[in-house]
Amino acid sequence: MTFSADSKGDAYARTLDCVHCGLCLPTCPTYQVLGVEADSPRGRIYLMRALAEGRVQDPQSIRPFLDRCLDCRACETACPSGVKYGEVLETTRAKLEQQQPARGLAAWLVRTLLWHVVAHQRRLRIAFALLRATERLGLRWLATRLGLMPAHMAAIAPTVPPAAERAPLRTGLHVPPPGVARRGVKVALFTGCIMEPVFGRVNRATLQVLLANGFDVDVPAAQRCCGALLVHAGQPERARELARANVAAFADADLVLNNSAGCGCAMKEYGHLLGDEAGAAFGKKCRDISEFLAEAGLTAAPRPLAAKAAYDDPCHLCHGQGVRAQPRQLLAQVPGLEMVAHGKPEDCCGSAGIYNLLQPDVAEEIGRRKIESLVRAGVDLVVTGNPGCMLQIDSHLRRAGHRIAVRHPIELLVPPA
Amino acid sequence: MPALERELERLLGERAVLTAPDALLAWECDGFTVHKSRPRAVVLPNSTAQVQAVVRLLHAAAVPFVPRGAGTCLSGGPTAGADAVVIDLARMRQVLHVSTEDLYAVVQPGVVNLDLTTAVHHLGLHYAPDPSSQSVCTIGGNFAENSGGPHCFKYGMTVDHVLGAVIVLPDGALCRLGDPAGARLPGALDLTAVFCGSEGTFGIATEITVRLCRDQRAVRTLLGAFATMTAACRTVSDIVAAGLVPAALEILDQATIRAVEASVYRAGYPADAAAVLLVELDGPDDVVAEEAAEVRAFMQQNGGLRIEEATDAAERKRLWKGRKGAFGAMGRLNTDLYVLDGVVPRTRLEEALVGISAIGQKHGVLLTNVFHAGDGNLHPNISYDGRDAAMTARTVAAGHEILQLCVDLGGSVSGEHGIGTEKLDHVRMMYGDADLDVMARVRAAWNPDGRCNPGKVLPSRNACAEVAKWPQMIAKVLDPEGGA
Amino acid sequence: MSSIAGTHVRPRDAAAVAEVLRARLGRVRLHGSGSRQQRLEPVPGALALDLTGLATIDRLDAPDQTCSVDCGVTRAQLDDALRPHRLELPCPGDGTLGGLFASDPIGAAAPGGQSPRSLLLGMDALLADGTPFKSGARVVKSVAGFDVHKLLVGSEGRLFVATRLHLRLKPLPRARVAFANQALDREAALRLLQQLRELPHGLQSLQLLRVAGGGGGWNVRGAIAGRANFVAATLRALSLQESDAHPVLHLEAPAGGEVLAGLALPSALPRLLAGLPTDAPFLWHGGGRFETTLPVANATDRALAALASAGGHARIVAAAIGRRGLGTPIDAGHRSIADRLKHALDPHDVLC
Repeated sequence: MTFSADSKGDAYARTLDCVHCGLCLPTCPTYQVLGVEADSPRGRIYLMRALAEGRVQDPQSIRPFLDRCLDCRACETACPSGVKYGEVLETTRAKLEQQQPARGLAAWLVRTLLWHVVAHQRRLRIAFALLRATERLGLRWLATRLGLMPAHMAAIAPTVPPAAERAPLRTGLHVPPPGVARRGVKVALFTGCIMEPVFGRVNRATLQVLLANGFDVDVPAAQRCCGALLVHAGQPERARELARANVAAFADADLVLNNSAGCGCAMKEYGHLLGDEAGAAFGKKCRDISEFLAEAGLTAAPRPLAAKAAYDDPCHLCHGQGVRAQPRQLLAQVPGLEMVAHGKPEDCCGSAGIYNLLQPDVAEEIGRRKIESLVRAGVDLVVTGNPGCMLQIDSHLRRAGHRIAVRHPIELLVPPA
Repeated sequence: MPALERELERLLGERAVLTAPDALLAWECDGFTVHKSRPRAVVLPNSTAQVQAVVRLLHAAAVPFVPRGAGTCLSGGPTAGADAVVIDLARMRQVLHVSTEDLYAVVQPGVVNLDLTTAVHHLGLHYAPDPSSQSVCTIGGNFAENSGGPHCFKYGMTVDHVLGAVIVLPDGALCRLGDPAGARLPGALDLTAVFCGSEGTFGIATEITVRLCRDQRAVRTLLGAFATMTAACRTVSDIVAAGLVPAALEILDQATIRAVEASVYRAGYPADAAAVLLVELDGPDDVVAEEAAEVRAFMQQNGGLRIEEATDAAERKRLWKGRKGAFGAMGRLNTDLYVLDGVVPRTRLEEALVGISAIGQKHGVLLTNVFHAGDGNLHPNISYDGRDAAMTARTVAAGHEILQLCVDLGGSVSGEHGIGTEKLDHVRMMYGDADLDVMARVRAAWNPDGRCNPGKVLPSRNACAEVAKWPQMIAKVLDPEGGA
Repeated sequence: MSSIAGTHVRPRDAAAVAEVLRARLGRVRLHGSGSRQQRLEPVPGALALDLTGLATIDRLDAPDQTCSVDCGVTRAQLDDALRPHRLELPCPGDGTLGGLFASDPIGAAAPGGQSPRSLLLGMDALLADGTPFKSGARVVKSVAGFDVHKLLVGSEGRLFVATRLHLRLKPLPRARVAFANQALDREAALRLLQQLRELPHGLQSLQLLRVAGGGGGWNVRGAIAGRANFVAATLRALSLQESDAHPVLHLEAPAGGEVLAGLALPSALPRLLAGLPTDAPFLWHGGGRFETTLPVANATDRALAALASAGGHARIVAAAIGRRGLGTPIDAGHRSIADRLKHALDPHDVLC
């Protein structure tokens, strides 16, 4: 076995921080759904520790349990010992993937999509244009019927918005419109690989809010996908390539803002991914848009909105980045908006990057619980700051026949025209 | 796959039976990580009928089995031998019935303690016993262990809150204990009470009826920080002597405070204090206000360095956060943790703490103390590195001496964590052969073949000094070739 | 020491009790002070082992709020010893403490209140052959070993002889006022009962009582405890009438009649009362136990049948010879464990 005593390394040492208290169990979405110890953070850490100690005979036999993890990091929030679960998991997954790449059509598809399409903006745009076309022609239905697209994938695949909404932001420098007092602060905007084609409106709203509030905004052309999905899929080498590109693309920026919790979390962790100073320094420059705006303060009042809304914490924002109060603080400034509490806002919705493609059954059940809690709260609007979560919650709401809209917080902060 | 495993799959379905040896490693131990043993298989039944079917099958095949909840036990209770099947009850987590009029709930054993309180919160009710692991541990596990918690000073242990249960006996027969109207039926023995705390050796509870309590109108938590442990203990004595019955009286020592403050459970405890005392009062508003003033006065008299008072839920939660996360936060001090659970008469707490500290110094181990002061229930925690056999040996020796000290002071080797496999030796400090023989007879009445959670609670007659073998056991696990 | 079966012996200490048992004098019936709470039928030919001679309060640790007492210490004796320390044993019952715990005739006085099971920390005991053993501990909290001592509660002296009990005590409340609202109609009584049960704090005992004759209607009695101002405010808020009447612990059987004791949830009270004769004396303790007296055996049988069909539990606790102990069916699994326990602890059926 490749995990000999001398290659145990840092991840092994981190598993030793776990004293097996179990406080992570109730926070883990897969444990909640499956009730299986090996599908809990404590169980997975234990398995990874046993793997490092050479006590696991067939490493591939514990892989399903590690693969079922959503990497939502809720367990890190609950862990009194401060176990860096995410790092241990990512390292172990990478080793296992290296040893024997995951088999199966879905895994192949994911690898292909992730590297050859998602990580390349231009190809991704073409893919979405094709998707849009198939949709217009009713081909999605056909593809499902012919078995070309698994039903669960069709169910969660987003409805592709029209071309105008998918249009990328103009790269380069944007300055506040005339009449807006400039604050003399220039920020750089990370646009994200999924956000742009699926939720172009969110990127435009982000730019609009920043400009209306007096900030100069640079959108570097050389930026690329953050690499988070590759890290989660156990392909850190390819993720590093993207990370280095981003470090270079944002070299001139003092602050790198993003509106996608998953990307933000991954970029803040470039120090760990790249294992160098440049990566760590880049991480320190990254802010979630809500984090930045809450600190800087809004100078342009948002457009009034008479609605009842619930905020749902994206895992990679609350657990991954510790950002909880800021989005709520900003939403409280929207005139007429009534914010209500709902069940467990910090529980994962089951999206978790591409998880819903890989583990459809578990993701389905986790998603069902999430909307059950939202529907019980009786809201018109769900607000959450991550494209994956927006898609997951929206698709579950739609399929269950609820007319509840899903919005990114920044969309509600746009001032009146 | 052996026939038994196939048969289990036939009964429960493929997804409820785990047999891959590597995956089974995850069930090797509970919160007491010294004893590790990989079970033969794990099954996840979802109903009384399924538990019954599994137990009948195992009984007929003469295969031992071990019930398990969330695996937060701290004494090895749910650790299963290599020949045993773990019956994991995590999927039996439905609250079956709540009576707001008669104040009880019927739950499946896998219901998490805090989830029950959450489920009845909107009715102004709660389930009183609150082990520190209440966000994880299950009612079934609590019933099996007779779990305590900070609030049992006033409200009692699990046994005081269980009214009845449906038990699958070790031969697969069903047995119905108690009634929502009372744990003991007229003219019958209180079998509910004797089952409680039997650590899974009498059978498997598949439905449990528990009492619900009304929420108190007002709750206040006071924190007192003291320059010496003695001052904190004296404050507790003063409070109790005045006839006050706080809902909880908890003390954390300096090393614990520092570990907690370094963790995500940081509660803002003053890091320079030698001891922090948490006092929770509940009742009618004006009564709580008066009692809080009295407690505050006692804290001041004993030289309290800082006194804080929390009246709203968020502030109280903050003060409690450090206490509830204390055990896990010890993971910051070293790789492994040995949690002791001795009890002394409350009046001898100071004496016990001095003795414990001396034992710690003698053996050169890192000791921290966090305890239920009202009950005299100490939790000395020893942080050690299980990879270091010498350090482990010193840890085990210190633990042994500490428990002997508790017994010598008129106390007990366990206040709430149970005997399990951990304290098989220590039980002899309290009980002689005749006492253990009577206990064995009682167990045999429930579990005549001894295949329901074997090897727990009662030491076998010939076994001696099991504890002495721990360091080698740990070393063997960490270095399988070396130990062979 | 006497050694003739059928007679009465009264040893002075546990060693002497053990000696009697070791002599194997046939069947043995344990006796306390003969308090009404035991209501046991005599067993012809059995040796009467009177435990009232074991009457020492061995240890009273007031600061720790625990004590160890011989089984023959009476409730009144313990109360006297505790009063100067402002402590009490907060469960209802009288007679010897051994008898109180072994018969547990009342349970808790109030909903969620302390019953004997929660106050018994441990015991020193003798098996039927005289072998001494102990169970539990002297401290307020211990989960070491199996709680054999909890088997004392309700055992009626048929499993072992508990010679010494380790008990948990509680501080006396700063103020306690007994109340009795009398001559209420049934609906008003049940309404008041409900209001009292909704108090989150301070209800120390609660009783619903209909006395013999029936003309007086229903009484709701109990005690409110806590700080003086709280007690006064509670009495006022619920219009409770202060009373110095002693609490009623048990009902007396009418001549030729029977006493039925059972369990009843508050919500089941109306249905339970509907199944009883309209003038039957009735006593319900807040902890869930009730007693009622019936004039003739077939009235008891009818009441038991009604109870059984509603899933209730009750037994005859005082009656003519041969009827005591009859009651609603007990679960077969429960019965089988109880039988096995009896066989495991007293294989020769000495204690009766």
